[in-house]
Amino acid sequence: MRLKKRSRAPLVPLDGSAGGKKGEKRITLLVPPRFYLVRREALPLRFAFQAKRIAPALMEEIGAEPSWSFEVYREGEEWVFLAYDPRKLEEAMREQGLDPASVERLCFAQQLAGELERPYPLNEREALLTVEGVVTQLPARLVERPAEEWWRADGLEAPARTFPFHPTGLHSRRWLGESELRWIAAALLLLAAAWSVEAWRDHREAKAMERQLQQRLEASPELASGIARRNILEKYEGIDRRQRELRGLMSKIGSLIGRDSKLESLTLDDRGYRVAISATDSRLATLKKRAESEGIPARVSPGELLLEGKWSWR
Amino acid sequence: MVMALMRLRGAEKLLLLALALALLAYGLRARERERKQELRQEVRVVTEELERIDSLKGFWAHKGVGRELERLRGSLEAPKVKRFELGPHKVQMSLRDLGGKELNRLLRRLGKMPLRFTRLELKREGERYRMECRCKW
Repeated sequence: MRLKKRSRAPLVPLDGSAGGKKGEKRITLLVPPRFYLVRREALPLRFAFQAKRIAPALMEEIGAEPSWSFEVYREGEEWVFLAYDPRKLEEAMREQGLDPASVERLCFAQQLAGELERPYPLNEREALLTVEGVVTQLPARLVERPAEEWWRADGLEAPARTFPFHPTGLHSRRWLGESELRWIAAALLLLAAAWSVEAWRDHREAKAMERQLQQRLEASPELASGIARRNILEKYEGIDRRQRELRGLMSKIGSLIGRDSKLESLTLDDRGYRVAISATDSRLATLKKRAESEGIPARVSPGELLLEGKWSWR
Repeated sequence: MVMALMRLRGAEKLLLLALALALLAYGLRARERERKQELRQEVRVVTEELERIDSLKGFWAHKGVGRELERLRGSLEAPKVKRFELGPHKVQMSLRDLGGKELNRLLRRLGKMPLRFTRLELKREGERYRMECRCKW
């Protein structure tokens, strides 16, 4: 079945000195038989992607390498498998002055088997001819053709089905040259080395810290466990907090006692405190204010300032 | 992907290898750095805990409190000591006839010791004071 759309790019034969124009921006390259392997098989497959999946295994049997590219198309009841080395193709293009980036599509000579029933001159020395259904590249002297017509070869048209061409790697697209790639690789290797050195240094420092910690904990084995440490801390911080509050209160009460105020009674126990301070009536209000400013609940009774409260941990 | 890799040229393979090595080295560096940070944090926390325990336990679990209280009892005038019972890790004292300054001095001295006051009672009797005190350690 022919596709309706055809490539508009001119068909340029590789190895050719006849037909096509060099210097075109987009070309369809006609690949002669010496650049590909072909195999025809009648297989019960419906779709091209199925055939393409088995193409590598099939073509390796006749000499293809895993790094080659593979294409398939259907011809009647048979599938035609093609295998080619894209690197060799590119090298050949460059040798002949063709820019691989200008090649848009590939057309394999096998696809033109019907049109090559008559010999087609590829160049001065060779011609293409279909022999028993297979397009072959022959020495021109073996092919019968009137000499005067030799160089007035009919131009071939690209078939409906052509294949995309993917130049290999960044290099052939000319994004980056070989030396730029090497410089970038060298810079990356330098970075890798620097980062490795930093990683090694950090590793050593971490090991030293670990050893230090280990030694510290070995000196007090009962404190080796985090849970044990936190339990001990909780116990002693509790004691410390309570006793600091008690001593703090005693110090504040002490500051309320002076020449004109006397401690009458003081009781401190686990629940709270009760303090009575005697003073002149004029002094009591001041003392009350001072006590309250220190956070001690206070009330005035005749001749006395009474301080009463509970501990914060109650 | 293997076939795509095999199509690459020498310089491109070198670049890919260099990139892989750089990424690996970066990953290693990041991991070691993180580990070092975590370890540093752990060391800091543990050191702080140990120092705090040393400081708190050093005060509140101090040995020799009994001896200090014995010295205190010795420094008090016998008639003023109604009761002074020193047990294992606890003390109970009843004192009377203490002057204001004397009481202050006594309370300051007791306050500096690693004693946990469970009960303290002060009562003014005229110009003197009576003191009842129960402590643990």
